[in-house]
Amino acid sequence: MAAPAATAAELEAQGFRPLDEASLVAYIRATPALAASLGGRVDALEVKEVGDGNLNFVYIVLSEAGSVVVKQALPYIRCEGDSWPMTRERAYFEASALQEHGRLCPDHVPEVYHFDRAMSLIGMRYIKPPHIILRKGLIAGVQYPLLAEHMAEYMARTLFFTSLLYNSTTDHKKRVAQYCGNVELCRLTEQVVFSDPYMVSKFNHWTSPFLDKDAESVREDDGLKLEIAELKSIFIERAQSLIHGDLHTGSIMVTTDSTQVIDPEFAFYGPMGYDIGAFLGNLILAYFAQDGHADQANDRKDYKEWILKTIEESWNLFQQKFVGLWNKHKVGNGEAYLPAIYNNPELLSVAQKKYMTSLFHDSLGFGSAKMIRRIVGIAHVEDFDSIEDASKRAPCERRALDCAKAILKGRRQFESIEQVIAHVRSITHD
Amino acid sequence: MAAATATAAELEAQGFRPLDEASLVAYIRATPALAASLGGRVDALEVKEVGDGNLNFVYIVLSEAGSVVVKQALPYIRCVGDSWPMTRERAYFEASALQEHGRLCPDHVPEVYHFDRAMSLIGMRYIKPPHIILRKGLIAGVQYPLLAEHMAEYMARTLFFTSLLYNSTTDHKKRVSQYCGNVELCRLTEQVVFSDPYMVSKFNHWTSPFLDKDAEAVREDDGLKLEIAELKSMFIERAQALIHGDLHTGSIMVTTDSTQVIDPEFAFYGPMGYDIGAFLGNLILAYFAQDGHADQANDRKDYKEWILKTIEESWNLFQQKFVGLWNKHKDGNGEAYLPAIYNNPELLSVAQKKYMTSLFHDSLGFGSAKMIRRIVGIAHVEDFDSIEDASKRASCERRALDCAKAILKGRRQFESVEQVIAHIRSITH
Repeated sequence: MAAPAATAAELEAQGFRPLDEASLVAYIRATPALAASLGGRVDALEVKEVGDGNLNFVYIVLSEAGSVVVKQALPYIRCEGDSWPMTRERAYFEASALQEHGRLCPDHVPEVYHFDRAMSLIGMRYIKPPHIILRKGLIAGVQYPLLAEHMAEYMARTLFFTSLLYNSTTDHKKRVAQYCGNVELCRLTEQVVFSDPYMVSKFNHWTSPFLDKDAESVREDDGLKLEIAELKSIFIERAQSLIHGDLHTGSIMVTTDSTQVIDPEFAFYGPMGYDIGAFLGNLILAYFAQDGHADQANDRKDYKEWILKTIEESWNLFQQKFVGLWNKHKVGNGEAYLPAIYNNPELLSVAQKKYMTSLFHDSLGFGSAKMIRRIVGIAHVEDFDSIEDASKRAPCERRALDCAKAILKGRRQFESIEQVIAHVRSITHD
Repeated sequence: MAAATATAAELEAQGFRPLDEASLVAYIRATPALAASLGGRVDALEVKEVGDGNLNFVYIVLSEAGSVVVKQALPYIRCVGDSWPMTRERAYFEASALQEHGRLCPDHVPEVYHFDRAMSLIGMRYIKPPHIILRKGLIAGVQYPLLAEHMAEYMARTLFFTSLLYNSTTDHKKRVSQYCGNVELCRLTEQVVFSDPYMVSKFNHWTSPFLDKDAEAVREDDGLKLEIAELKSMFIERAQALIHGDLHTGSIMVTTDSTQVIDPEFAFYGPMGYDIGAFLGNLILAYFAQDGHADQANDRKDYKEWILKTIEESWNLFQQKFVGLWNKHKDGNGEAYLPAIYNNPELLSVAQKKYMTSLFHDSLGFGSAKMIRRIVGIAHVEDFDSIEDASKRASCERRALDCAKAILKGRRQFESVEQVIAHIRSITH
């Protein structure tokens, strides 16, 4: 699929060498922007490699007077060694998306200090403790009262301001063309989200033997396959906005009053519903995993309610903010709904309602697809994997899977997020 | 909107100069590929400028031993002069699309002999007499028995082979990116097809005063506006296939046994339904115009039946050929419907049916939109304009307009092209 990995010599000729702690220090000392982020104190640097993803080295660098995170993309998927090449150019798309989304939503995106394209290296703001990855907080049962508000803000601003509701087609198409280059990361998604779960693939796995029949029924569900075909085509063909591309709960770092979105290396011009679905779908996975984390100290009932409330508020606040931005900017450069045509408030309101309903259904579709792939596909989620007892994990996964399949197939019947929540609630212990 | 027109000096610096008959001859003599198309006989050349479009000079060049057409794009829309700049780069996209579509469907696309990007100049096969523009044949009441078969073949091959049903996403996205550059031509369409007819615009006109109220009704039809918004977004956002982009009956040259598709300068990666809709929609316009061409010698009734039959066959043959190609290539590089997933014939058949139904509805939507714009927008069609009696013309246009509005709004209710034909038939005096 992708080109074979280049040799170290070929990479050097391109200006690339993979750094380690020592060579990173030398690199930082030679790079003014990075030295500045460390307050100029590059003498005694503390460097820790924390990459727990599969695609990059991530270094936290601390000095006496500052801090920075340095992320370097490797030309292969790290857990597979050299065997699965993945273009280093993803760092360019990640940096570009961080810069664009950061411009639109600085409160929720870490600032980029430095980008070195040849080195596939980004220097960005260190999101300091006590920030943790949201997924870990959800597993631990921590409530984040501002999460819905913050994520609604992030999604509304990034999706609205990179769409044709705000931009001319001239600007839009230029950027669409630019991000067409991130095709390798898109292909990864096309394979692992939209293809593998629905066929026999050596990459698939699931909690076996408990979910053997459930995995088989996904592979034999014609209704599911017909829906996934349409979602796959939308994912590849529809250049609606500059989306993050992988907005799951592992791409979000949180404290109780801060929310930071990271890792947009899958960014490209795709359907808005893919980002919204990723976030909501992963919250639903977290919900279904709670029964597997419940113990005598904490039955997680209140926490499950908090998750459901967060899902509901996230969508409702997103819709409110998105339409608010649309109204605020309706007389601007956006060319999708010219004011001279949609020239009265009632008509514009109906148009907005249609748009948001369609976006809602897209979100439900994409969110469900992402839930399914995390249960029967190649890469699972810690929410379930951390439930050590396989016989306890499997029922949680099964409920999530059944929920996702029903939402995917019946998404156009849902008229509100409240109805979706009611459906999620209705899936209880057998 | 577009950048201001460059001065002649700036254009010269880019390597561009607009040719006339004399300088074209010199150019041909200096260009081996063009000299070859003229059989090497570049001594006594006959040159005729025939451009009747608004965007280009088109020369037919004849020698003792060959012929060629040379098309040069000007940096402005010709009928408007310098006041409406339009990028010369459209020649690059036209040449690229001619070459790609020509590779896929050589029987129905004139071959490109020469492309000079700096000069925005294409040299291509001269489509010889008795070929005429299809629109003129439709106005004259000429039947073309192979038209449906040929256009179904052209559309099936160009749309299928440039889609994700055939190509990997790697190839697809590279080309999507390339054609994103044809944005100026796309913007022209976005304005004249998807915007202007639905608002007060100085560019709009119609057969007045007869259609004054009809034009106003379009501008005030909320249902229409909601539908057109979705079609506009699809037109801009959906990179489904390399479409011709302006597949009306003025872009097709015909004899009774040959069909040639020309002028793909609007080509880009967009929705398939836009090409199919353009062709079918313009046939429907031709149908409604027939009452305005009827005279004592010929009431055009048989001809109207032929047009309806052609519309029906065009869609049905297209669907048959398209699905045929899909089945033939289902184990190829296409990534939209992996055989390992759609792994039994019944499932694939259902998937194909869903796909074609969706494509049918897209085609009806885009076709209707293109009909509407030709009646109340900036650029009309000779089918109606050649009806000299304004009140007769207006009645024909009104029936076409009403038909288009109904199809646009109700397109998802149509399950077959036969039902669409029945609807068209029902719109009588």
